[in-house]
Amino acid sequence: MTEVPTVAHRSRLRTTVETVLRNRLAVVGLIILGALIVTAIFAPLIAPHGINEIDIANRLSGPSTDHWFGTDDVGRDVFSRVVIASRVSLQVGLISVGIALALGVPVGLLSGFYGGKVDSILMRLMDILFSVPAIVLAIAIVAALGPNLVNAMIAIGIVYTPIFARITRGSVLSLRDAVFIRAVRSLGANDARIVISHILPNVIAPIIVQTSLSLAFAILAEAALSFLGLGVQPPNPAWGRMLSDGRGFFQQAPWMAIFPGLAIFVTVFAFNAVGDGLRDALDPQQRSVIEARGAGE
Amino acid sequence: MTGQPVLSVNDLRVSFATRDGLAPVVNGLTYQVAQGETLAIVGESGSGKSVSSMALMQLLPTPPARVTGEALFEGRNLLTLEEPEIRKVRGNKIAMIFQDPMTSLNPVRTIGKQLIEPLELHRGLTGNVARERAAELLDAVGIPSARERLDDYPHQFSGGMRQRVVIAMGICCEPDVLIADEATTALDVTTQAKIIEEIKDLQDRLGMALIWITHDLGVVAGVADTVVVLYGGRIMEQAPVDGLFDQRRHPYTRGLLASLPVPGRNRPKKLNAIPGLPPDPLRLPAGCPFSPRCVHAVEVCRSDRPDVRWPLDDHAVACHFDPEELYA
Amino acid sequence: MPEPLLSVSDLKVHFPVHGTGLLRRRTGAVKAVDGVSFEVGRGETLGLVGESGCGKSTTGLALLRLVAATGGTVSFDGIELTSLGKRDLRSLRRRMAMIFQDPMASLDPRMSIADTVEEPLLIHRLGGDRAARRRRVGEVLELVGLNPDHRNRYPHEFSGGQRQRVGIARALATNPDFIVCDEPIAALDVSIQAQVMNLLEDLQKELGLTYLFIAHDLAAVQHFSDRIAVMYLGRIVETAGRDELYEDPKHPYTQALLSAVPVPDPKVERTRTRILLEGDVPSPIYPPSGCNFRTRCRHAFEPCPSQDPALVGATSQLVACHLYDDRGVRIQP
Repeated sequence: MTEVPTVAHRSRLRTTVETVLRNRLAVVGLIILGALIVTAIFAPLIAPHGINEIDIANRLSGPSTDHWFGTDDVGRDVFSRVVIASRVSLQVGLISVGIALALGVPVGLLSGFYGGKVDSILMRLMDILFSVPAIVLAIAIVAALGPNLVNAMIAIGIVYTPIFARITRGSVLSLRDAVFIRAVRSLGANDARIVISHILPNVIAPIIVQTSLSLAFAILAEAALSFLGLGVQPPNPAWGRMLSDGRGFFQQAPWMAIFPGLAIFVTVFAFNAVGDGLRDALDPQQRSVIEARGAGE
Repeated sequence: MTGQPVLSVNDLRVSFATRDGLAPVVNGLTYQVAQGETLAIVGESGSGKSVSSMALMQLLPTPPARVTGEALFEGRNLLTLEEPEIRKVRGNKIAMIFQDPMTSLNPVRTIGKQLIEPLELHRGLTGNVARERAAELLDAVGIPSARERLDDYPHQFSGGMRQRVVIAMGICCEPDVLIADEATTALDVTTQAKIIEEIKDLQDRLGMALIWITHDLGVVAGVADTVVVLYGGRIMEQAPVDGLFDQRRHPYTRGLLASLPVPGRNRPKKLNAIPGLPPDPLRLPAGCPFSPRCVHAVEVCRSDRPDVRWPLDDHAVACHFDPEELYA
Repeated sequence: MPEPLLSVSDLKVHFPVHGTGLLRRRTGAVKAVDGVSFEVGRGETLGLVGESGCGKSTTGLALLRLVAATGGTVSFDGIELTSLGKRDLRSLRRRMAMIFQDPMASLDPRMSIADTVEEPLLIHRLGGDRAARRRRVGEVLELVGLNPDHRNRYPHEFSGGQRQRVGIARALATNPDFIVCDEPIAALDVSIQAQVMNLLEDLQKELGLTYLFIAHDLAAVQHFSDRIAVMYLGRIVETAGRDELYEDPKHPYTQALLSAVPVPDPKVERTRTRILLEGDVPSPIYPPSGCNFRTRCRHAFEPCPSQDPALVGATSQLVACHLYDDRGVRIQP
C-alpha cells in the first residue's frame, strides 16, 4: 500500500531563497553584496589608477571624469583606493568571522551538550571576553601582537567568538532533550554522532544569521582598527584609514573621507539587510507550512 | 430537539488564505442547539471542528481567515457583530473551554485574579464581592479549600484541577452556551470521567446549551443528545446520538466506529482501518471529501458533491447512496 | 517454559530533587518507578497501562538505558543490561528498539527519511556497502507501507500517520528482536490509529517481534496485548491476561480505570455505574506509605498504610492488594 504525501514537495533551499527574495531590503542588500564581491575580485582590473600613483599636480581635486571620487592629499585616485581597499575589508570580514565560527561554535556545542563543569568553565571564559567592549578588546589584542592585517583578523575573530558560542549553546540547550535526540540515542548513536549529525544541522540557522550580522560588525571593526592605525599598514589602503586620513582634509577635500565612509556604510547595511532577511526566512519557514496544515483543525 | 434553538448556525464557511492558495476549512456547516441540549461535533484533523467554533466568536484573525454565513444568537448574527458587541458576548453569554489548561491560563497571574476578570468585565463585580463569587465558583467545580486557593498560581494545581479552573472561568457568568473544545482530551481517563460528570451537572443546574467538540466517540456516546460528524469541513452525518450509533448511515461514521478497538473475547482479530490519509484542505476533491478513502466510492462521488438528505426527520446524511444500497 | 526474552526485577528509577539553598542538597527523590517486576516472553506483547505520572514511559526508557536505573535489574535474552559496559550496550541496542509517541518530534527535521532509516545501519555498521544499505532502506520503507520513491523527502512533508511509519521503519532497520512502543498511536487521528495498530500486528507476525506496548488508552492496549500490567504511581498493581483483566479486574484501581473508559455505545454509557476516584494522584516525591493507592481507594483498611502489598497470585493474574491473599483469592468483602 503506497500513500501520497499531503504537502507538495518543496526543497528547503528553494523555500528559503524564495522567502529572502520576497524581502525587498534583503534583495537590495544582496545586490550590493554581489557588486561588492565582484569589485573585490576584479579590483585591479576595475581600478583605473594605481593605488600609489602619486600625482601632486592634481592633489586634492574633486570628482572628475578622470578621478571619479577625486584625489587625496598626494594626488592618489580615491576611487582606485576605495576599490582596492574593498579587498581588505572583505578579506578581514570573512577571515575574522571564520575564526570566530571555528572557535565559537565548537565551544557552544560542547558547553550546551555536556553542561555541568564544562559549561561553567567555558561560559565564564566567554563572559570574560564578552565583558570587554569589542573595540577595546580588539585594540588590546592587536597592540599586544603587533599592528598588521593578520593580527587585526585574529583580534576581531577572538572578539566575536563569544557571541557564536552563546548562540550555539542556546540552540543546543533547547535541542538537547528533544525527542528525536533520544530516539537516535536509542539506536545506539554515540555523542559525536549526535552532536555532529543531529544537533549541528539543526542549530545552523541562527548561526548563519549571526554570521551575516557579524560580517557587518567585523567590517566596521576593521574600519575602526585601521582608523586608529592598527590594522593594515600604509601604503595599503583600507577604508577606515582613508577615513582617518581624510579627516584632516575635510574642509578642502571632503570627498577623501566621504567616499570611504559611504563604502563602509553601504557594506555594513548590505550585510545587515541580508542577515535580517535570512533570519526571517530560516526558521519560520517550517512554521508557515505547519500553519497552513494546522488550519484544517 | 427539545425546544427553541438558542444558537442557530447556517451555512458557516471559513477559508484561510495561505501561500499555496485558498484553503477551505469549513464548508457549509449548519446546526442548531437548544437550551439544556448537548450537541457533539465529531471530527479528526482537517474536519474544521475547532475552526468552526472559533469562527463563531470571531476569534480567528481575518485576514488570513475569511468567514461567511450566519450564527444567530439572540436574534443577531454573531459573525457580523462589531468588536465591542462581540466582546460582550464572549465569556459572558457564550463561553469557550479549550484543550490545554496550561496555555488557557496565564502562568504569572493567580487564578483568583484570572477568575475575577470576567466577573469584573461582564458583571461589574469588584473587591470582596468578586472574590467571594470566585470562591463559590471554585467550590462549584469541585476544588477543595477554594477560598485559600484563590491566591495560588496555575502551576500549583494538577492538570485536572487546572481544567476545573478553566471550566469555572467558562461558567462564571452563567452563559447560555458553553463550547468545550476537546476539553478533556488532555486529561487522564479517570479525571475525564469526573469532569464530564461535573460539566453535565453544571449544565443541568444552569440550563446551558453545550457544544462538545471531540474526536472521541466514547465521550460522545456519554454526553451528547445530538451528534454532527464532520469530515473535510462538511457534515457527513447528523443525528440524535442513539440514531447515529445504531444506524451509522454514512460510510465515514461506519468506518470510524468499526475501526475502534473493542475489548472482550469477541474482539475482531484485526481492526477495520479506514484506508488513506486525513484530508488536506488545499487538496480536497471536487465531490465528496471522503471519497478518496471510501470503500464504496464511485466516479460520481469524486466529481459531484452529495446533497444533504434527510431519511428521517432528525437524521441527515451527505452521501449519494442510501445505506440500504451500500450495506446490503 | 521457554526463557522469557525480557526479565525485569524490582526496577527502580528515582530522580533526585535538590533544594534551593546554597549547597543545593538533595532533599528527596521523585520515585518515578518504584520496584517494578515483569517478564515478556518471545513473540509476546505485554501492555503497560496507566495514567500520567504512573511511570510507564520511564520504565520503557529505563529498559533501553535511556534513563539510568537506580535499582533493580533488567535481563535481555539472559544478558544483564543494567551493568553492561558502553560497548556491549551499543551492540545490544541493535536488538532492542523504541518507537516514540510524537511522530514529528521523534524524527530529525533536517534529515530525509532515507537518512533517518539508514542511520541505525551506519551506527552498527550493518547492511554492507552503500548500495546494499539503500536496498535495505527501500525494503523497510515498503514493509511499513511507505513508497520508497519518497525516500528523499523530509518529515514535514508527510502526515502524522506516515511519520509514525517512518519511526517504525527506523526501529526495524537493524532487525531487532524487541521493540518498546511508547504511546505509538496516541498522537494520531482515530482513523489512522487502526492502520498503525494493524501494521504493528502484521510486523509482529511476519518478523517474530516482541513488544512492550505502553499506552494510556485501555481499549487499544486490550486489543493489542497478550498480557497487561497496570501501573499506579511507580508500581505495578495488577498483571493479567488481556481477557482476564477485562472480565475480572481485581485491583480497585484497575476497576476504577476500566469503569472510567468511555464506551462508544450510548446505551451502555447511560446505564453503566462509574467508579469515580476522589482526589488527585499523590506526588511521586511523597507517595503514601504502604499501598500507595490507599488514599483514593474505597476499600482501604488497616494493613494498607503500613504494609506494601506484594504482587502475587496463583494463576497468571497477579495483584498487589491486601484485599487478596497470595493466591489471588479475595479475603476481604
